[in-house]
Amino acid sequence: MSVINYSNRVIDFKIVYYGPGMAGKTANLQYIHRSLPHANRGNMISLASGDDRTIYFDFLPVSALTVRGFQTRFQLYTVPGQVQYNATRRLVLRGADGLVFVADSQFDRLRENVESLRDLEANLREYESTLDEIPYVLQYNKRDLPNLAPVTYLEFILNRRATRVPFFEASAIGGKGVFDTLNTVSRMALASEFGGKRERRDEAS
Amino acid sequence: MIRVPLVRIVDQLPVEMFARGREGLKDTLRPGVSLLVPRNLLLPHLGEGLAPVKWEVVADQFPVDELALTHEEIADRLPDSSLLLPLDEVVPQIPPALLALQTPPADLGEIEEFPAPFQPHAPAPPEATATDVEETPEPDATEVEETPEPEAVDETEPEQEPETEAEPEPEFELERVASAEPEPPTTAPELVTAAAELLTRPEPVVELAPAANAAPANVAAESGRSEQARRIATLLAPLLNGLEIGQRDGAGTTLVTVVAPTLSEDAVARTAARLVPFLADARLPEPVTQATLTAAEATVVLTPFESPDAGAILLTAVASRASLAWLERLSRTAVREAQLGTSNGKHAEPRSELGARIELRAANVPAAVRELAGSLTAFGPVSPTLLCDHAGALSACLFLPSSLDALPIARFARDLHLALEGAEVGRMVSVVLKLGAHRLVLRAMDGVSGSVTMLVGVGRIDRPGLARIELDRAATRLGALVRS
Repeated sequence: MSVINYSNRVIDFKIVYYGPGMAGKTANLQYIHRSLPHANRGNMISLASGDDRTIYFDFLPVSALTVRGFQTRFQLYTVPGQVQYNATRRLVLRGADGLVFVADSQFDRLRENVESLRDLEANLREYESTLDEIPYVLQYNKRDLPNLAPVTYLEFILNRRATRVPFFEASAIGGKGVFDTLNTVSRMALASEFGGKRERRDEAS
Repeated sequence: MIRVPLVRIVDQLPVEMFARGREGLKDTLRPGVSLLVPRNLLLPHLGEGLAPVKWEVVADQFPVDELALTHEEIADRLPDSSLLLPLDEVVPQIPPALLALQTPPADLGEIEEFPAPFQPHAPAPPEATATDVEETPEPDATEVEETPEPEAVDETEPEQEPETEAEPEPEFELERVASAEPEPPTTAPELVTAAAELLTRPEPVVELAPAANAAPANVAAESGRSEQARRIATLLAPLLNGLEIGQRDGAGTTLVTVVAPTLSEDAVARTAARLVPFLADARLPEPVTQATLTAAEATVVLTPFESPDAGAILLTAVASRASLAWLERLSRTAVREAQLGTSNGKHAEPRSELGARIELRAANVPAAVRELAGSLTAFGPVSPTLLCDHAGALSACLFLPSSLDALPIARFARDLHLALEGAEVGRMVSVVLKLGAHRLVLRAMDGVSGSVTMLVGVGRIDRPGLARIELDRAATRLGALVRS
C-alpha cells in the first residue's frame, strides 16, 4: 500500500511490472528511464543475469504530480519472469499499489502468459489479496513482432474476469504503449488513494 | 474441423513409430497433408493457451501400414498421450465470436480527475538493451547510465492543468523534484532495499550484524579482501534464505564459502578444489575471472579475489540454477576491486596430467557441423574443429574464433572435463569460464557415451544466455549426428 510521509508531504506508490520471462518488463522500465526528464527520475537499478534476464528485480523511482499538497512518487519494479524465481517475485510483489501484467503477444509464448498470470494470482493470495483489489492493467507487448496472437484471443485468455481491466497494445522496445500503460495504472493508483473509492472504503470502515 | 499441417507437429512424433523410419516420415509429410481435429475438442483448452489433442483422436489419420508401433505404444510416447497443436494454426480458424468476451470493461471514470502523471519529454535515444546493461564492465549493470537530456523542454504542458476554478481540490501540478535522486523507496520490501543499497554502492556501507550462521571466530578473515568477501557473503545470506557461510583452506587457496543449506559444503568445496587449478591455466588466453559449474546436484560459482593461486576465492553454491546467475553477478560485484593477474604474471603451467595419455587429432569437419558453427551467433564468428582420440572416436568439438589455437584449448577442456569426472556434486553438465570479455563454455554432449566427449565454444559473448542456449542446441544436434 502507498506510504505517506506527512512531514515531508510525500506519498510513495509502488507499481510492479509482472509477467513471464522475456515479455518486456525491463524494456518498459528502460524506455521510461530514457524518456522522463532527468529531474523526475532516479537511477535505474537493474539486476540482470548471465542469461540477460532479470534475476532479482529492476527498480526505477520516478516522481510525478503534486496531489492535494502531497508530492507523489512512484517506485517502478519488475519481477524476474522465469518460473524458478517465485520467492523473489512474491517478495517484490509485497505492498504493490498497482500492477502491470506484461504479456508476450507471440503465439508461442501464450502458455507462459497464462502460467504467469496464475502465478501472480497465487502470489497475491499469499498476501490475502486478489487482482480485484489492486489497480491493475494488461499490456500486450511485442506487437511489432511476427506471429502475433490477435488481441481478441489475448483478451480471451488473460482478461476473462467479471470486469475486464484496461489493456494496451505495446512495443516496449520502441516505446509504443509504454506511457499509456504507466499513466493509466498510476492514475488508477492515485484514484484508489485519493478518489471516491477510498473515501467510500474509509466511510465503510 | 480445424486443419493443421502435419509438418507443424512432426517434431512431437517419435521417429520409431514409422515403419519405414525417416523415409516413411518424409512420405507422410508431403506438402498438403494435414490433421483434422474437431473444433469442439479444442475449445475447452484454448483459454489456457493450449490446443492439445489426444492421439486417439487423430490416430486413424495415419496409415496403419506405415506405423511400426501400436496406437497405445505411440500414445505412451507422447506427453499426456497428446499432441500440442500450434495455436497460430488453430486460433485463426476459430470464429472470433467464440472468443469475444461479454463481460463489461472496468469503469475508469474515476481516474479522469487525475491528469496523466508522466509525460515523456523527448524521443528516446537509441536503444540501450538489456544486453547492453548486462555487458557493462564490472560492476555489471547495477545502474543504467544516464543519458544526456535534450534541453529546453517545457514539462508543464497547458493541457495538463486541471480545472481549478470549479473545484480547488484536488490540486495537481507537475513539479520538479528538488533532487534528481529520489530517496530510497520507503514502500519497498526491506530486502529489496538492502539489495539496492548493496548494488548501488561501491562497497557495502551498512554494518550488518553477523548472520546467525556466519563464520565462527576462528575462521575470521585473515586478509582485507577475504574480510570484504565475508561481509558480502553475510549480506547475501538473508537475501537468499539462509545460505551457510564459512571459510576453509583448500587447493592452495582460501575459499570463502556461501552454500545453500541443502548442499554438503564439503562436497561443494571438494568439487571446487578440482576446478581451482584450472583458473589460471596458461593454455587459456586470459585468467579466469569467474567459473560456473553446473552439475547434476548443484551449481557452483567460483569468483577469485586475487590470483587464483594465492588469493581467496568466493565460492557460492546453490542446488539449482535458480539463484545462480544472480549469485554470479553479486559475486563479481563483491570482488570487483580485486586485481586479477595478467597473462604474463599469473598464468600457471597446466597442472593436470589426467589426460596426458590421450592424444587428440584433428578430423574432417562434416558440412552439418560447419552449419552448426553458423548457428552460434552469440559467439561471434567461430570455426569448428573436430578432434578425435587415437581410436578415432570423437573426443571434442570446438567452436573458436580464428585467433585461438584449438589444440591447447581442447587439451585444457579435456583435462578439466576429466578432473570433474566423479565430482562430489554429480555429473558435470557444463562449465562456463569468464575470461575477461571472452567466455569459454564447456559442455558435455547430449546422449553420447564416452569419457571425453565435449563441446567447447569460445567467443566475445555479448549475450551469454543466448550463447548457452545455442550451445545447448548444438550439443543436441551434434549428439544426434554422432549417434547416427
